[in-house]
Amino acid sequence: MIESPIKALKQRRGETLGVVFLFVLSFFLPGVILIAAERTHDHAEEWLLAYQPMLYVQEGASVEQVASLQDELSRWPGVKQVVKHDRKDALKVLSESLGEERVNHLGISESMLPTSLEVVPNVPLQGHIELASKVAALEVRDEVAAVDVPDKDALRLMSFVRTISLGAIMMLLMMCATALLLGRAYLRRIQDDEGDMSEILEVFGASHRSLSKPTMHRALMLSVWSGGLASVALFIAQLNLDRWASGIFGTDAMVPLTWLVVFLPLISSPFVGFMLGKMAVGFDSFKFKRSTGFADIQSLLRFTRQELPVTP
Amino acid sequence: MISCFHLKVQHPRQEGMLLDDVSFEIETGGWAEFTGESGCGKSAIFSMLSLRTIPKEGTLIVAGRNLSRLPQRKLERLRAKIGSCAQTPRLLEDRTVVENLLLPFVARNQLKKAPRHVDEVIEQLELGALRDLPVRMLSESERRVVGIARACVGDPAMILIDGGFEYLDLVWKKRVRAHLRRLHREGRTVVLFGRESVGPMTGRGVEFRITQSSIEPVERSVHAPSPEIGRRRP
Repeated sequence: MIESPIKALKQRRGETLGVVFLFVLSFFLPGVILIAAERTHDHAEEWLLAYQPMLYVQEGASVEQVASLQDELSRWPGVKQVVKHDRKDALKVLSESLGEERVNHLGISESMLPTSLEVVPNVPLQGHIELASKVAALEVRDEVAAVDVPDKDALRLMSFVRTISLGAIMMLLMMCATALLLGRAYLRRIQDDEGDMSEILEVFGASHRSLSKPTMHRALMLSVWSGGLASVALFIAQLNLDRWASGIFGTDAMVPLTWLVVFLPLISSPFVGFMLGKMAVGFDSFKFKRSTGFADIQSLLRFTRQELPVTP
Repeated sequence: MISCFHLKVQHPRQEGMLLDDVSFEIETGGWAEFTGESGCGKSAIFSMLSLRTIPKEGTLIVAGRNLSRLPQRKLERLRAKIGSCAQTPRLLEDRTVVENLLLPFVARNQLKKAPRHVDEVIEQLELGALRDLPVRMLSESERRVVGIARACVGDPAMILIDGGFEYLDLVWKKRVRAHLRRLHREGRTVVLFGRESVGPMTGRGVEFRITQSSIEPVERSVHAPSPEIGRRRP
């Protein structure tokens, strides 16, 4: 109070580092899980979007039957268009992916390949999921030889990743709550050590606001240090995850949401510090604003009891 | 400066009232002494006049403010006008005397004039030899003088000293009394609490004797309150 509030944090270096580490951990662990989950979700989504539901028409199906099927599918709600790929297109796609020489070597000709219908949904992701089951049911039709719908595993993976993300958010909240409680206990210990000084200053007219300022300042310092360190740690983790993901998935584009996760600890640190400070000094420390009574009479009574003379 | 009506104070350790329906008045710039035996309630009154406790029953008006209706912020401002020293003054043991004397200025946010004022008080009370010593190295008598000096720094409108000069060595007693008289002459209200009166009253002095749960004015000046005030009411 009569010196820098940071001095008390420096004097208790071990405890300060412990609290900062706890805050960093509570941001970092859920953050890494969220980043990994978001990357996985993003890749699963990419797979799903690149893989349109397909219908392969029977070899003996007439042109009218194919046109009728295409017309029927186009009228389905949620279908943007139905693209017809004839045998010539199919051979072209095969030659592009395998190479013409290989196709010739295998002896694949146009007549061996089926005509197919690609169903393009209106809404990219949700449309895929909804159309997958409807298109799968068409396999029983006479003119349909086979259907190829997006892999159910990709859908399952996306659902799993969503659960993991929710779990990570819950973990973040719980760990932050634990860090806040321990941080409050630490700040209150410092306050107790400065109790004599606070009580003297209070007797000479110091306001509650000025008495709680050092604790608020310390809380802000702790949270800003923690937020900064956590953001740096998450940034490094993000780079490593990207390197690993680009090796596996072959893409290196970063997901915008993960940047939010990286910088969230730093952005939210003033708010976390304010919360921590208020928890330490008590939410009624500014009571005089709305009260017409005496906000902190108990502490005064405590002070007085200590100073009352002991008579025989 | 202080008006107190129908004040009742419960005894902290026994059943019954420590002070029962007492009233008194101390004028601005006056010199008042509350005297009485140990445990008669002097410290209880000191505690209330120094705004450390608020009376549960009765009306206490300090510097024109009724304490029972005063919001917290105004109570803090009012406290800043009072310099008080408890019977056992709370001092920061590891801090030097001068650092302890600076605390009221820190509390009142009057840092600009603090060093000059503190040096003046140190000079007037001849505390120079103790100035840079940590409080833990001081004797009981010296601690008490530091506590009284701290109550006097920063131009408080009212100075309250509990315990009187009873625990002071003779040399300190003279210095402190002279210093308080000087402050009184400058217009400050001085209120002392002790077993005995510290000496002859000035023209505006009044002594209140606390006996058997009541307060009787022993000596009154020409500006003393009406006869009803200061007596136990039926």
